[in-house]
Amino acid sequence: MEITDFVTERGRGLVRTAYLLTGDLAAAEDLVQTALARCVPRWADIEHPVSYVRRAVVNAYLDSRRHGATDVGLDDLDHLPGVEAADLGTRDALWRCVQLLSPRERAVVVLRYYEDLDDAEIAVVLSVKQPTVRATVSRALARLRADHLHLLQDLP
Amino acid sequence: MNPHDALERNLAATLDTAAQQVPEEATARLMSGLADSVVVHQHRPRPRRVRVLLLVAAVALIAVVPTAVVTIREQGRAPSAGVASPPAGPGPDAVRLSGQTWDGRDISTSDFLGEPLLVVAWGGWCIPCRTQAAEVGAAGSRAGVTVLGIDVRDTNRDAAGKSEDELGLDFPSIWDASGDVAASVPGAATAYPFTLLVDGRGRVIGRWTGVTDGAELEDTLALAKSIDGAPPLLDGDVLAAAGTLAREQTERLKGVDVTATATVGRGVVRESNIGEPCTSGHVIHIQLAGRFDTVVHGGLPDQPYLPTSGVGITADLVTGEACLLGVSTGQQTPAPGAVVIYTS
Repeated sequence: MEITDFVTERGRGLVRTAYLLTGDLAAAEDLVQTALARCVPRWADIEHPVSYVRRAVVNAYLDSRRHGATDVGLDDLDHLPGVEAADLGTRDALWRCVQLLSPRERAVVVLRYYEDLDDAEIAVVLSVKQPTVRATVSRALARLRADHLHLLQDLP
Repeated sequence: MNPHDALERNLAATLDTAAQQVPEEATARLMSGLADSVVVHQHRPRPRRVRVLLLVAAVALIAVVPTAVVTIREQGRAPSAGVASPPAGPGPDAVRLSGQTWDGRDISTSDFLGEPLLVVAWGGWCIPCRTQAAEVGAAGSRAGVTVLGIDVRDTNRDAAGKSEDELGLDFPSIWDASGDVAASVPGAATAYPFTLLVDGRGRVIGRWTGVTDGAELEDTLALAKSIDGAPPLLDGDVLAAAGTLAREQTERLKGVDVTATATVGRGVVRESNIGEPCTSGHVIHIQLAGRFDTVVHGGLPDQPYLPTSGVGITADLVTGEACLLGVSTGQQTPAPGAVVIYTS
C-alpha cells in the first residue's frame, strides 16, 4: 500500500489517537506527521503499516514528552487546551483527568480504551513486558478514579 | 455494577467523544504535509551542537542510490578547517568549450566566467533541438542569464546561420560541424538537445537532456543566479559540522553511488515548525538545485516546488543546532554534481 493511500484511509484515525495523547489538535497533527516521516524511508519494508505507524505515533509522543515534559497538576486544569470550565460534565471531567496522567499512563489508557488493544499488543507498542502494562493500567485507573472524584467534588 | 467497570466504560466513551474533536480536514493536512516536504525527522544518536554566527546550514543532495559522498563548499570566503574553498578562477572541474561562431567569431565558455551560463547543444537538423534552443534562449533572457549555444553537426556554414535566423536565436552558438565540441562536454550526452547550467567558476551544476519545461528552467536559473550573487554569510565551523552530519546521514542510505556537492549560498529565516529540536521556529530555508529535472527544496513546508529525492539539513538559528535532516522522496533521481543553495 502506498503511503498516500494509507494516509487517506487512516490519517484521521491516527490524528485522533494522537489527539487523545496530546490533547491538542495541532500537536496531534505534528506528531502524526513526524511519525509518518520516520516511516517514509522504510515504507516498502513495513509489513503491517497500521500497527507500525500507530507505534511510531505513540513513541513520537513519548519521546516528545521525555524532552521538556511538563508535569501538570490539578491546579493547571484551567490552562489545559480545549477545556472550558463551564463545560465541566462528568465526561469532560474525566477527559481532563486523562490529561493529568503521566505520558506512559496516558498511552496505555488510550491504547486500551480507545484502540481496544490487549495487554500483549500494548506491550509490543511500548516495548515493555505484559506485567508492566498491567501495572501501568491499574496505576492509571487508580489515579483517574482519585482525580475524577476530587474534581467532581469541586464542581458547583 | 462494579464501579471499576463503570469507570472503564466511562473512559471509553470519554475518549471516543474527545476523539471527535479531530476534523476531517486533518487527513488533507497530513497529505499536503507529505506532498510538500516528505521530511524525515531523524533522531540523531547524540545532539550535535553547531555554532552559529549568523546563518547556518548545509545540505547534501542524493538519490535513492548507495554511498553518497558529500562535499560542502563554502562560497567566497577564506577556507576554514574541514571546508574546501573554491578557487577564485575557474575550478579544476570547470568545463571549457571553445570554437567559432558560424560567421567566424571566437567564442568560449571562459568568456563568461564569473556569471552563470546556460549552454544548449542543438542542431538545425533536429526538431526537438530547435524547440529547446528557442526555449532556452527565451528562459535565459527572462531570467537574465547568458546563453551560449553549440550548433552541433550543422555541416553547412550558411545553413547554420540560417537556422539561427529562422529560430530567432539571440545568443551566439559555437559552430560545431564535427560534433567534437559537444562531445567534449564531461559526461557528454549522446542525445541532442542537451542543456547545461554552468556556474560562475565554470562548473557544470545543471544538466538536462531533451526538451525542458521553460518555467522549470527559469526557476532553476533564478536559483543559479542567487548562488553566484549570494554574499558569504556562513561560518566555516558550521559548514564543517553540517558536512559531517550530511555525510553521516547519507552513508546511511544504501545503494547510492553519488557525489553530491553542496554549495553554500545564503540562508533565509522563515517561520516554520519543523519539530524538535528546532524549537525556536527560526530556521534556514534551503533550496536544492542541480543536475536533475526539477528544483527542489530541502526541508520545510510551504514549498512551491515538488520535492525530488534529496537530503537536507536545516539549522535552528536560535539554538544553533543543525536539527533536522530530511529525506524527500520523488520520482526523479538527482545526478552527481547536484548543487544545494539557499535563496532569500
